[in-house]
Amino acid sequence: MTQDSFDASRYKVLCVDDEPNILSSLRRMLALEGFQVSTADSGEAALVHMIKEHVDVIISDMQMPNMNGMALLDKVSQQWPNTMRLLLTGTSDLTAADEAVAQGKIYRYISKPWEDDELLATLQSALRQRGA
Amino acid sequence: MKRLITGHWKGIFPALLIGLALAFLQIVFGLATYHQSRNLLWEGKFQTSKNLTQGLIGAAIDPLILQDYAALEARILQTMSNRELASVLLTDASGKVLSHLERLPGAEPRLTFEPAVVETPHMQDEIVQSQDETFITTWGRVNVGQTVGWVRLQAYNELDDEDLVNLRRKTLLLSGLSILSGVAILGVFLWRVYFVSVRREQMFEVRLDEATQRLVQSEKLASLGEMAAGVAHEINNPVGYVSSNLNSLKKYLAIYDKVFDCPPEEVDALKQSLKFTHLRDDVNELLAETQKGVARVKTLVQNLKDYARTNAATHYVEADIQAGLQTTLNIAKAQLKDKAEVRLSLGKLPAVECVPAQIDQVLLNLIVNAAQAMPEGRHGLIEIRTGADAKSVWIEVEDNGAGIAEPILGKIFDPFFTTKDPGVGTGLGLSISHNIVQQHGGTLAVRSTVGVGTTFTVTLPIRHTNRRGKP
Repeated sequence: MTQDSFDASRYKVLCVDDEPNILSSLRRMLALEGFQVSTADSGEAALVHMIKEHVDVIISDMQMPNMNGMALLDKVSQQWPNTMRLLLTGTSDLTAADEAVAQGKIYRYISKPWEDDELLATLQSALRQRGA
Repeated sequence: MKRLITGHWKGIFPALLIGLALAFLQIVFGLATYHQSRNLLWEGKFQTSKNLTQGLIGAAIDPLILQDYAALEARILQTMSNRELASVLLTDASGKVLSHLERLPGAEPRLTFEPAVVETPHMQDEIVQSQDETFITTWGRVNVGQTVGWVRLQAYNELDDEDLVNLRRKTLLLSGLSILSGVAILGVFLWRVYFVSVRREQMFEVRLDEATQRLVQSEKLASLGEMAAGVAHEINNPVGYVSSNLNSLKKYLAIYDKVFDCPPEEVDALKQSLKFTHLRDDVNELLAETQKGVARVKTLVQNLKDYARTNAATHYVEADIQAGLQTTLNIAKAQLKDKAEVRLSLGKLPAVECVPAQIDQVLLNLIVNAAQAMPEGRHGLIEIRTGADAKSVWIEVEDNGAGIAEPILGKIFDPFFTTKDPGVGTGLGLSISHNIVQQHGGTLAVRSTVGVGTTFTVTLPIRHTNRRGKP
């Protein structure tokens, strides 16, 4: 599979964050690339969404009330191991995120503030990894 | 300073008592010396009488044996030239007066020729002395194997005025000098003790102040670290979506260009394929959200500036504690978000005379502690209440976290006591908060129930009175 043959419109991406402006900008950016984007404003809402609908990639914020990103992606990895998991994190202490990557709970993490290109590249490589 | 001095005089009081006792002793010793010297004068008188009597005994032996008194009377007269003597009497062995020379005070001695017999003392010694109110009487026995006669010598029993005055003057002078020098030495000693102890206390206080200041500074740095992490996180979000939105806007403009450059007859079809209507609607949303993000960063920076400004004030000013509380909450927001909800019920507070930066530090510490008290994975509740009475204001920070067990509750204000993981807490936060509140003349109280939660109550006087408590 080459870069050219990557067809974003085949993939469903779920973005999870408690900050609506972030969800809005992620949706905008991913939609422009052609992805099918849906959003959830909490870990619980994300799980409800995943029960109803298939998701190829889930991108979740780390710091959220009640269920944080790590807990959510941990649950996802158990119930939907085929869904690729990306973590967006704003904390300076990244040991927990590194550990989660090492244990395979998440595919990769991206630091906030993120670069669109970096996020897209990570997303694409995650999807290729899954396809391979 | 006043407190210092009274404190030291209290310490010096026993020393003053000792000084007074020493002076008293000195006076007693002076009096004793005076009496002793006076007794020596008496003794001198006795001795003189004795010597004169002995001389007369020696001179009387031959005349008594030979019954010839003329030469002896010349000798007695000579003895009477001593003006302290009142009379000299010579008897034979049976006590019959042979010769009697007398003198009334101030007059010349004269012979009395009244034939009389006096009672002689019964004694083995050669000389016996006695005294009554008027005279010192000395009896001498003239003895040549047997008693041949008696000599009686009477001296006035009074001390010479001149001698006494001299004695008094000398005793007074010596005692006075002794007391003065003693008091002077004691005074110098007390003065030294006083200054040494005052200086020591002042130095100790200065050192204590410095140590406290260092602790306050290091805790400030720790809370600054916490704050920086929180602020970084708060800025991450808006900067993240603002920059992402600008990227999207660039792509939107490229699409606008395409539509603009398109031949008119193909525009509708192109618009359809690019979902142009949706794009046009979204541009407005994009701009609105981006503006919100920039505004959010602006507010944060403003808060930081406020915080920096109030932190710069290190002296007591009248400050709005609730405004400080709001700023502190904004700064701590990131740390609270995934831990707890904050519920405020604020009363009407008057301006409080305080060092605002320090009070903000106390509140930040209590709020962050409350958030950290929440058990992992539970979204807790922090309630902050404020109120005031005539003289003081209070701020209560209550959490429904893990609570603090009884044995630990007594230690939480101890420096370096912490139950947090290394790197999370310095163990100084509450200790310093406690110090700060105390320096403000207020109290920091805690009550806690394990499993139910903890409440910290800061009470501050509205008018600050203890101006020594510098930050």
